[in-house]
Amino acid sequence: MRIHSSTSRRSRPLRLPLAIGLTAVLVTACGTEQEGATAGGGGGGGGGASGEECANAEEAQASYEQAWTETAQQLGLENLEPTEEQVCEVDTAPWAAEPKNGETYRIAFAAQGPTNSWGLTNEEAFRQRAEEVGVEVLYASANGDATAQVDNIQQLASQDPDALVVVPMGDGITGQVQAAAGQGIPVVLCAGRLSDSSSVVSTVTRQYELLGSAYAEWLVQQLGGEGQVAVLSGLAGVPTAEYQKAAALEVFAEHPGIEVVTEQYTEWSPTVAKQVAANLVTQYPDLDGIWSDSGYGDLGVVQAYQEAGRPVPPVTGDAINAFLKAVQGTDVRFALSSFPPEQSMQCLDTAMAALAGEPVLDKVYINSPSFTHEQIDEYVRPECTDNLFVPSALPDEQLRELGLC
Amino acid sequence: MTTGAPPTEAAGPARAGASAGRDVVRRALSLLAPLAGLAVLLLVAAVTTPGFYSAGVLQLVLFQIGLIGVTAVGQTLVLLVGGIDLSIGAVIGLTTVVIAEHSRGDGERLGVAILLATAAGAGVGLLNGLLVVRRQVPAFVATFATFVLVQGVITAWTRGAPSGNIPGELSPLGIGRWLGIPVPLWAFLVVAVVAGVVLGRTGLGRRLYATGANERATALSGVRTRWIIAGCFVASGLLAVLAGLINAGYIGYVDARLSRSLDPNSVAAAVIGGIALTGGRGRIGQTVVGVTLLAVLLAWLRQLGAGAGAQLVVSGAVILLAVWLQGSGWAARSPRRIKQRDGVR
Amino acid sequence: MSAAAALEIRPRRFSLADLTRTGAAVWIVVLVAVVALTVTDAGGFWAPANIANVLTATVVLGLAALGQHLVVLSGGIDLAVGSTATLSALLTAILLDGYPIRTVPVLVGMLLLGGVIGLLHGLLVARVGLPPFIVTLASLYLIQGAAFTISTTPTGQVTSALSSVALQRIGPVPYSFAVLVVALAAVAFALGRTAFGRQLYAVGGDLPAARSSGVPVEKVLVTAYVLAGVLAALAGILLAARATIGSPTAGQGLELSAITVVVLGGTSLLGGRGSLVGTMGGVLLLSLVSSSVTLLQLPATLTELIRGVVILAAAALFVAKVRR
Repeated sequence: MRIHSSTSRRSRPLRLPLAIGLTAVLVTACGTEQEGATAGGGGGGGGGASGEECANAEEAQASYEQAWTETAQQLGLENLEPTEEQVCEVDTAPWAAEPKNGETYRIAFAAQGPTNSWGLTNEEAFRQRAEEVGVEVLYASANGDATAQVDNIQQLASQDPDALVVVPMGDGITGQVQAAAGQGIPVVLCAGRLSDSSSVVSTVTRQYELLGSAYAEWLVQQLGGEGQVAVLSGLAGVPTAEYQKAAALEVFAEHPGIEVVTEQYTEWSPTVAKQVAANLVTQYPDLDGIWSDSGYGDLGVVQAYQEAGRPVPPVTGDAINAFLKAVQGTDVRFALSSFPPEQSMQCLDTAMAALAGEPVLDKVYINSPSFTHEQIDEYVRPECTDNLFVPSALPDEQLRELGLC
Repeated sequence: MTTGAPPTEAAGPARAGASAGRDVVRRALSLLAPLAGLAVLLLVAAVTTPGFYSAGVLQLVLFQIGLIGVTAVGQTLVLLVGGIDLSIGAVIGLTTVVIAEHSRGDGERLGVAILLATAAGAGVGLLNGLLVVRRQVPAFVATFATFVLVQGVITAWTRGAPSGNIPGELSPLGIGRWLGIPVPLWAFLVVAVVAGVVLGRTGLGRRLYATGANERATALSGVRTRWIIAGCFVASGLLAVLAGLINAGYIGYVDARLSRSLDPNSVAAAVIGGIALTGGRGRIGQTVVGVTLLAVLLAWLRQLGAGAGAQLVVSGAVILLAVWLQGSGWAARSPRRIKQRDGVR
Repeated sequence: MSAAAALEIRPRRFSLADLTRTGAAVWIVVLVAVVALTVTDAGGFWAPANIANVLTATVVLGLAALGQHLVVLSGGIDLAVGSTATLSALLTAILLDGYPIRTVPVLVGMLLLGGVIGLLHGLLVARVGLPPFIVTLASLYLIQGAAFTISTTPTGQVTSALSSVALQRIGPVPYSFAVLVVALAAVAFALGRTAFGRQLYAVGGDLPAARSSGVPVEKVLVTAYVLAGVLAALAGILLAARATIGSPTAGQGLELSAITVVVLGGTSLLGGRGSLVGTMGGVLLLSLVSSSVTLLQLPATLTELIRGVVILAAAALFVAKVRR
């Protein structure tokens, strides 16, 4: 076709140098071998330690399993099996360093940005801990956008901080994180993870698989191993949503009596969740339980069932004050855990430990409280706003300052 | 977009005065494509999701029609004068934040809060209108800029965590029913009827169509086209406030995600209904059918339990198909002429 | 009456309009921003690493904006550049999967994919006569849907050679900037020195007149969309190279930024008139704004507000007048 030939002619000036350059690269690389085969979806295995000796494996592994045991105890779960995960100790001697400029350390913090109360609390907690420890914070906000964060990380790294703490907005930042680590900056991933975390010192986070599996196990136990379940996860393509959901589906698959009737996305929005749940009410009148990854979503679920005049099936999610306020005094059954925004404090601690040359774990899994409807009175904060994630590690005074209480 | 197309394309103000008989035929024709699409969709839904025709689902669809419809009417007004409004989602979000922050859950302060929200929405609409008519900024860019700006205002004001609650007094607007029909649908019907009457039966409507079809010619004939264009943006802003109130009443919380979404539903509904992006062509009836089709589609996809990918694919295909059908002669227009200036915003 | 008044005002604004038309207006803002940054933090701003940050941030947006520029010149709009980049980024990582041997076929394949997407847009717009806004809005959904169908989780891996193109630099100039420069040169050449360029301006300026004077309108339109698709796919490849891994959300929102910078640069959304220099100025302006927020450590709650104010002010001051 004529159009076609003209097209390729137009774009040749563009393609040709690229092709030449890449052919040259190809000749030097000259291999049919796959490079660094550790990356790839799912799993959560960062590849760093796989080839080497795992240092202090037993103690590290025990700390990992402890988070699972505690959650199982708090929710009264009988068979919560930790997903397979190798945790090792990292020798941080190569990272140990004096402050590069002046007296105090400068720690860069690539944050989510104050797009919601989680992001706000997350960065305020980080700043507070930084003040306590006496380090300077170099801050960048991604506004919740992975593409913006790629630029943020490059920019923070170019200012040569002593360490970099990143709240990952998506795997799109992997290359830039590796580049920062390549510059000799110790990187700590905070409240999230990357599929390929081989270049970072440590990943400090509440484990997605733990949340997803614990919610699922609790539902299975509530239903006695029999019944229909709907799976409501957050936002398509976002790791926080997809990994939790994958872990839950694995648990449900182990129980032949459990039927997952539908999987939907709530966008972590009560409005969307309510519309989705209103549909569940009519489409699956015999639904026995709802697995959800978010308390915001559960708000909508509860309203949809209450307005339809139907009993609310057991739900799961993370602990947001609005949900607790809404269900206090009702007979709604739920299991909640948290993805605490304050984990940024531990992220900073881990970065400081690395700078001091103290041993750290390559994966620090945060422990945080989980509870059910029976303990609601211990956790609900009637005097605080809806947006507070409970229980909060920040002092009341600061919560008031932030307008959260 | 302020000025219309070159004179070759002008439909001119005279169009509105076509003879009544031909008008009825043309109206029927313009509704035919979206109605046929709706019929096909209902058929497909019946075959693929057996539980689709139940009272529960009907209620859901009716509610959804109301929710999308209110903003779609505003969008239609803007499209008719050759613009587009991308700031609707941001205004919806701003409304819920204003209500929560000002009223703090106190029903007695609700009235003032609504007034403030209305002023804010009208202000955003006015800003859009002024950018478009005074500075001749393309509507697409002007409203995208205010979209970003409003988000920025919300973030700077609330630091990402709005405090305060939505008063319970607002909930009837979101979840109430009257004569068994959801209140949001009533709101939409009232808005649509008013808009339909203004557009179809008044001099203002005629001037509005003329402005959309050819602004310069209309301006030369003495119509204050700038006022009309700016007025459409303000109307769209006000209707977005109404949608925000309905949303606030529906869920009772400030939904942080609302203001971060571009709310493509209002554009999609108008486009599916056959409102021309060039301005000057399209009737509220078409928007109503487009809204209905979109609401049914969303409900059906939800029933189907389709994944995120499939939902997007189907939405895209439906939009393309709807416009293709209209383009291939059903709307009684030559494709050549549609192509000429469409979508240039 | 108001129109007549506007006509009278016009001569007084001639200089500003002139600046806008040549794309110089947005560069004045860029210059002001650079001077302001130099005054505030000269050392930080002019550090080679920081210049590299600014330049790196222009690459992906710049490539998308180049394609958008061509389509807008033709009188159309391409809302699918972001999703095309997403799909290309995801597929690049999945298909490469760390095998250097696959680099050339995969990259050529991605550019072809972008070309085919553009071809479909072009045919639907030029042959079938559908409005570009709607065609590309629909395909925005379709392509993003396809990406989610392929994978909702991050997957695949690019080769180290490819990622080094995106991540390394010589002094203040990142390697990837060369890609943008080459693409810019190619587009500038196509617009300024070829029959296609002249015909594109003609088609965008006055389609019926172009048609009656024998311009192959359909061919010109299709070519513009094909080039936009190829450039979007190239942007996607660079997104993947920088990420090293494929993500199904990589290019989301790119289309709006691309349209914004094209308009800020003084190109008329009505088609037929615009300056490549201006578009590149728009790209640089957005890149400067976002990087200076971090450089100057401005409060995060203000970043969006600043972005909105800058876009709004630039649009209000420098947008090309639609009147011809």
